[in-house]
Amino acid sequence: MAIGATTVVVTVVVLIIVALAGADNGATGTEAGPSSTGPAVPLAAASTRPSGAVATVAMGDLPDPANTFWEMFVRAPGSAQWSLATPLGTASNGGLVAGGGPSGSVTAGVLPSAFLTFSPVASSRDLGATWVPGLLPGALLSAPDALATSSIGTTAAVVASKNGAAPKVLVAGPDLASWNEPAGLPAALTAASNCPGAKPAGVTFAASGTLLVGVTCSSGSDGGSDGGVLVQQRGSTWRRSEPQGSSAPGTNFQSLRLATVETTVVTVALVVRNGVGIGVQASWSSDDGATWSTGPIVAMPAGWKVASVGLGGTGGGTGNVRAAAVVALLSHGAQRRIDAIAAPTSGWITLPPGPAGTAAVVATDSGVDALAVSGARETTWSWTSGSDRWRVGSTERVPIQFGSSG
Amino acid sequence: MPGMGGSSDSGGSLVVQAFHHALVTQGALILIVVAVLFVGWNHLRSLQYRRAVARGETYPPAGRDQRHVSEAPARRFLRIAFGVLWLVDGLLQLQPGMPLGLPSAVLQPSAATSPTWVQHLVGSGADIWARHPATAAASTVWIQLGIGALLLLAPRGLASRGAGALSAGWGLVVWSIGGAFGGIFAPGLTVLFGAPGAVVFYVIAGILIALPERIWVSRRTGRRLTGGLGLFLLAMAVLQAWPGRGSWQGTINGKPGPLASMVTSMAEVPQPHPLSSLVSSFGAFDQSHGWGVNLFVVVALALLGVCFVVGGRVLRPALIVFAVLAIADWILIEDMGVWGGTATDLNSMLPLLMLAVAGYVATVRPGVVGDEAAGTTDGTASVAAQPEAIAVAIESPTNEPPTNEPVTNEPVTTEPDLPVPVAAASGATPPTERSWWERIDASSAGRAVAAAGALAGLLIGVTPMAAAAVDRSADPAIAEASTGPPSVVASPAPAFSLVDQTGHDVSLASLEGHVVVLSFLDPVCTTDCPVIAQELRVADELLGPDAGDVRFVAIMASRLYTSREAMVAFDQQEGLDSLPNWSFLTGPVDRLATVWKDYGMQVLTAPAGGMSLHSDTVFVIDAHGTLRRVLNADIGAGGHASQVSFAEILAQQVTQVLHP
Repeated sequence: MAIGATTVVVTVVVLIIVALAGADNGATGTEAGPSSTGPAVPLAAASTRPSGAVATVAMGDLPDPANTFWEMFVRAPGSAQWSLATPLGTASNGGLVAGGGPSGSVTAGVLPSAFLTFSPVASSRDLGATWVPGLLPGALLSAPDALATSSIGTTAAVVASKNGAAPKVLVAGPDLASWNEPAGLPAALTAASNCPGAKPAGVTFAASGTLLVGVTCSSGSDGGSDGGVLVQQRGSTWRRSEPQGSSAPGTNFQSLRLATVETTVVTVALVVRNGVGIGVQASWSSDDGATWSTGPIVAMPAGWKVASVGLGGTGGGTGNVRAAAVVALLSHGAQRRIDAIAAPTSGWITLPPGPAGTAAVVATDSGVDALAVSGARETTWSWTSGSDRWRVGSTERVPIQFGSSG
Repeated sequence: MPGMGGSSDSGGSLVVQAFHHALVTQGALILIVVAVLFVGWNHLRSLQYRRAVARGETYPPAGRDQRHVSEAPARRFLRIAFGVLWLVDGLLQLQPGMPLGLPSAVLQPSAATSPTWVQHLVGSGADIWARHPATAAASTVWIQLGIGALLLLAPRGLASRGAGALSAGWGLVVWSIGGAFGGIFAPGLTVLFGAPGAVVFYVIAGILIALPERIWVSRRTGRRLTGGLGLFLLAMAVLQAWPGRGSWQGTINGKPGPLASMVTSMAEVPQPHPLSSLVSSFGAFDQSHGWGVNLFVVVALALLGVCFVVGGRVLRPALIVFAVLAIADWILIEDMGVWGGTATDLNSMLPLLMLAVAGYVATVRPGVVGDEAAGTTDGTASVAAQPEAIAVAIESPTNEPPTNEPVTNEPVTTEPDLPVPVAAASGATPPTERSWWERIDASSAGRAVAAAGALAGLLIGVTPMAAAAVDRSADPAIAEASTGPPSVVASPAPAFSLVDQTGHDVSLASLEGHVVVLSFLDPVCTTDCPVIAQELRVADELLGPDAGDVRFVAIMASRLYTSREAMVAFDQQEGLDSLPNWSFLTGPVDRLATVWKDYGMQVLTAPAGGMSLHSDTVFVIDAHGTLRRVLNADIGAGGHASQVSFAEILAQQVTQVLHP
């Protein structure tokens, strides 16, 4: 065991070097490291339609799942105020998905939490003022567009399957009682070329009533695949459409949003390179997904992630803005960045940094609204085109039942 | 009440009473065993005395004490130190918070950040404890007191080595299942806060005590021990210095860094104010000087590690410095480890220090050669040593040069279990043929009887613990601690007429002839209702053949999700759809409201993502429609053990109603 003095000195020197290296590392903070960007799809979301706007955000004591409650807020057309419209009767700790439809119709689904294994759903025809409860024969997928409602009251849902099998799409009538898988969809998913392990990630009904299913390829695919969108044709035929087109090797597109605003279908994807999210890209289609207009990619700094994406609204109607703007909330720790794009031919603009606690953003007809949450308090902030700051709007104290789910 | 949260009474008086009862029962058994051993020993001594007198011999026989070799100082120190530590640990297990608090406050948190397989392992142990908290807690007390007493009372021979082996074996159980392997598979490992687990050092000490005593004759054992300690400290220095683990930061994003955070949380545990002030002061100091504190720790660990590895003259000052730093760490960072009501040991620094001292003593004061140690195997040191106090050994290292001559020692004390060579018993008469009981040294076996009593205590602790591990039931006292005892009533049960999950009409009158277990459940409830459903399912199993005379009936407890589809989904989720005697009833909300009112139930719709709020009451109605029992099924934050416990209570009550 005898060790010479030289060894002792070398050991001490090495340890001090390691110590100093550690000190240097410490100064830069501990958040550096593997990016959390990638497979996680943010559930907080918002959509603006002519019949009103809907947003879902997590509130309460966020570090504690039993005291985190997902709430739904709505904003009636012409109103500047958001109000609470969370469906009643079931605990929303697992998450909340709101699928908007025309004329104020909205379907909300609760993700299971604690011992619950299936998702209660509820539909409303008056923007959340009254609800009719229903039930999904499984757990809703944790994705902001896992529910959608058509103009004739048909509802589509993406249900997370059990035992590791791929999620599946189910469709029900207005009573939300009897759910069936659309004919031909499983085969179409299996046949999706250049997209190994294709699985549904979101659903929407085009203005014509055509069902569109957003597809995500398995994480193992890195050959430049794009899940794209499967568009239902007559009978059991499905057509695959790739809004983002082919991508470079090593690049994938992960579906973040898929929704219909008036007559426009909008899809937003996270651009993933070598497993790391590097940007966000949106595409628009006015012909039920037959053709797409794709906008530029807004780059995302390393270590940042997408916290929420809002769809719809004109954003103030300046320039070439149309009624289907996309607003992306990016975050990195306590830092936030909000980027918006109004149309494929316009570029992304970066808005002033969002207020503290911003959880969801969406374009309205006068600008962009940011819903900021702190505990049980929701505060709406508004930005108008050309302004360099956010103005505080309404504040609502939500009657969260802390301790009721634990 | 679903939606209103459950209350967990960690010191549930019923469970504490059961714990005390188990302690007293097991303690009484141990006393009986010791008494029997004492009487047997006394009787044996009388027999031996009479036989010796009859033969004209002296008693005790001459020469029995003529040859004796004292225990190696390092081994004795190790044995006594860890014996005392086990006794302290056993006494800590006496805390009233242990029966209900250990799984949730100690076991599960210790594994929370470990890999899944560790969590499963710890979870299995926690489940055993949670189902039989009183038995498990009492058994642990006696096991640890037994090991401690055995280590103290059996200085030599098989009993002593066995005590070491038991210490190592039980230590391994505690380290793996009770301590999630000291967190070595979890992030944030730091020696300052107890890594790699205090019990690891108990295991090492146990192994050393269990090994043949001749290992202590050589200085090599001490050198290996101190060298191993040095390598451990060097490894911990590297770990502490490793970049990116937060060790260098007093604060991270304005919040306390890992060490400051741990220290601050320890200071918040109820304890004497001066101590909490001291600990929180250090936490604040580390917050503002995190880099400096860690640099000091890294350098100190590295230098001490090198000194222990090198050995020789630097060993003694290194040990002194290590002792000071270890005690400082024990007080300032580990907060002495004993506060909070569910502390299981004194944490790691004291046992680590004990090992360091033993290693040092073994280096400077090796043992002597006895019969068992005849002939050193390594050909190095065999130094004569008197059985001096350890403190003397520390202060006065001999540093004699090694010799190849085995050294025997003068007789010093009487040790009954040391083999006595006949040839060495000078002056004794040639041995005559003696029966087995005459060969037992009963003249000085008081300590052996005490050691045997300690062993008996250990076994009396192990036996119920082993029985608890294979018993899948749960102590009813667990549920009663949170729900209270069932109410015995005798009044007509309010009538109802609703529709079941298959669409058939079901009324209370249609159930006449069966005992009815009536509950109120919300099919989309996320917490209490699924738990109650499992309690009902387990109670149905526990009833066995009697279940054929019982109907389990749940009435809808939601104003919104009242559809048959919701009930069917709930039944499938809870595995109730396969029970032939299960019915879930619904109907129009106004009719449901009447039933709720008749049974005194409140069903409220909560806003803002809260689930439906309703009472968690279960009623037992006899075969003639008379209400017989009312039970509160809200087991609070209890887990599987509480569910099984409530099911036991419910099955007992149903059986009493079935067979009055």
